Amino acid sequence: MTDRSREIPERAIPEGEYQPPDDIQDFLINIGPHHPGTHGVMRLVTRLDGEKVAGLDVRIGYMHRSLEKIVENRTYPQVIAFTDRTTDYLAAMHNDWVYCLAAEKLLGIVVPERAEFLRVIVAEMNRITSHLMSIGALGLDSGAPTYFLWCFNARERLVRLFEDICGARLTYVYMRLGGVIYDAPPGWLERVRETVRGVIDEFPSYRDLFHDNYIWHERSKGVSTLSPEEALRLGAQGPILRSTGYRWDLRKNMPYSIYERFEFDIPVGIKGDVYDRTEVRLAEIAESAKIIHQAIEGIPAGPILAARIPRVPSPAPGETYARLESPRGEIGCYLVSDGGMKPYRMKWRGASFHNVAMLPALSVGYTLSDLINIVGTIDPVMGDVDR
Amino acid sequence: MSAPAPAPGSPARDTLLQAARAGLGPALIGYHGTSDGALCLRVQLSGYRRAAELLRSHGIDRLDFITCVDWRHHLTLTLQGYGIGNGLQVRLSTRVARDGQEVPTVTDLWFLANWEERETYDQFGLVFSGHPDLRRLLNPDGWEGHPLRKDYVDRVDINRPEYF
Amino acid sequence: MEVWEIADSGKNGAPANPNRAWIDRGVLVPLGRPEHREFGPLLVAPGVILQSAQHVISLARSHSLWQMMFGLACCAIEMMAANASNYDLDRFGVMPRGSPRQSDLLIVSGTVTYKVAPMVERVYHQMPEPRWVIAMGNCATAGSLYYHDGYSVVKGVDQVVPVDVYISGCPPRPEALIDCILELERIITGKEEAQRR
Repeated sequence: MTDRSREIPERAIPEGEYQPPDDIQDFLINIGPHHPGTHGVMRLVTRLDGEKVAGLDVRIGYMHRSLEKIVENRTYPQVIAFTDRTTDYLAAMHNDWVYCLAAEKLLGIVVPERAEFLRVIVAEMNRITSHLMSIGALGLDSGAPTYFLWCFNARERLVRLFEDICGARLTYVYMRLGGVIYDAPPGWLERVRETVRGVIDEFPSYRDLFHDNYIWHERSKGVSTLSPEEALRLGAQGPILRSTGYRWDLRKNMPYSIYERFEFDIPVGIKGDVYDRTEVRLAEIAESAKIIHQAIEGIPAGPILAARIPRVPSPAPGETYARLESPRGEIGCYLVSDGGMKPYRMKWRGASFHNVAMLPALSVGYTLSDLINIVGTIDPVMGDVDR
Repeated sequence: MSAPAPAPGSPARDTLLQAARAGLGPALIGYHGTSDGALCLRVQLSGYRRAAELLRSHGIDRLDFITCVDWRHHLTLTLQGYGIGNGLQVRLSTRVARDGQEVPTVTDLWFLANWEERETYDQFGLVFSGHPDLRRLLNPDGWEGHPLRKDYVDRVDINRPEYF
Repeated sequence: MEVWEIADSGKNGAPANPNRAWIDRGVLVPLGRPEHREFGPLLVAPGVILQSAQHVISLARSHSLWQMMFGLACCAIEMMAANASNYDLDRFGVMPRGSPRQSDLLIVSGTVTYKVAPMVERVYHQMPEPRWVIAMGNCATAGSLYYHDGYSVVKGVDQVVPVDVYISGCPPRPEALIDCILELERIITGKEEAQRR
């Protein structure tokens, strides 16, 4: 091989003057749809100016599993098997719950007390597992895989409790029209209390490893800051909105089910950056633990499923909408019935759909490695985005 | 900074209803309230854009969804939003012909309307005039047909699928 | 190949037991008879195993399957849980890799849609041989509950790439994934039990 290191390039560079080549331009890079980030198949067509993101086009649809079309051909109880895995599968209880709320409104079913308490307990446990998964995955994406293992360890203990009550670890078809399908086994509530307390007791070590780590502070503080006005203009919701300082949570502001009976705070952040979003999620785990403790204290005895629900319910023609606060934001279910035994139209309002739509506005101007962190704190679940 | 949800029949709702009747005139076909306090407005397509602007100016700053329901002879375009400040929930629906009719976009009123309208176009074929970037969102780019229509035929044979 | 004779002899000048001579002396004797290959490793001398190179290479490959993380949907969470510390796939040698060029096992976990199917195929072709594919979960096996009316779902990833092992479950437990890795180990090393299933 000839030594070409001393060759003079064609365009001679005059001394003292640097002429950039004519063809320098923004670099178009395609991230995804499959990438080592743990947030599912999403394609980010990024225009980079050096290391900074100059433009971002989010392409989704790689996990589009035709939920709304399938549901038009299933009976009302059968839909629950779809809502917990086709949509946000990390918060399956919440998704089942919002569909059950909408269907119960249409059918006029009243849910018994014990079922409401059980719903709250499992939903808040699911919020804890979802947030643990979220911040663990954020640790993995940022380069702290040990934190990922710790969060998954804590998550495993809770997931085993889910397995005890409904037999499934991830996609529980636990909430049904009119209540829940299985009662808590003997001793389960006590074990829930202990496990949740154990997770909260580990928080000092989590802070020591990740959240108080100065490397994480350097990487996350000041990245993708958001003001409350801008967040409201963009339609932010969930932890993203709360991290900007705006205290809006559907459990307090538009309460559903029995959330008015519990005392809990809504943690808010200050600047709306990546650091604040992670802190808000961590604090929400503690608030969910409070709700679980109060629910276990106050759970009454009684039936867990409303009586006399037909096996194939056919509601009167009409439409309804139900919304609730899932770990990712606001989810909603718009159900239209034409009197038959199958929903005529179900529109799923997913939280991650809107969070991901906000991604270009949140990430332009920050570097590529920050983009991965921003995606992590938005915490999209592609099932919820694409349905 | 938070707002409680007002009871049904609140002053905000009455104000909005007055403004709708005044501003829309004959375009407002009907209205009713639901049991959980939402106000449902039915408008003609000519008054859809004006109604959306009215909603925005009366504090409906959070968009829930924009979608269609295919009623076989026509489509019904539904827009739902609520106001964080006044807790008012409004559902706006209008009737659209199945083919050939364009609907004005509301992307400039709500940021989230961009993707919602793209999804409605993808699944129903409803074109939004004035939308900055109307292309398919969920289905692959070369997909034929609009899947959520009731007359959509799944062209893929389960036993021998052809993709792209 | 011929059997070499032992030059040395035992007492009285008669040859020692020819079958045990090399064990006593530690001399490597190639047997060369084809039926010996199926009996597994033969201890020829202390510290020496007689085996075909193919078998040893398959042992090494099956116990260090580097996995290409192809997590699509809910099964990906269980795959991550299997890689995490509770169910620890690392003790089987399975390490998650981000790049297909460095991996030899593709675990397709989750629903394959028509939009993502070309990517699965491309990733499969980017993996160097030998490569194996696990279809994890009901969706990758056969399309799961989206089989009917799911217009956008490929009914099983074996329409796109050839699959070696299928796991059923929605999602399968991490123990099912471990069982599948062990099954794949048996397939790679060619054990007879694997063919019965």
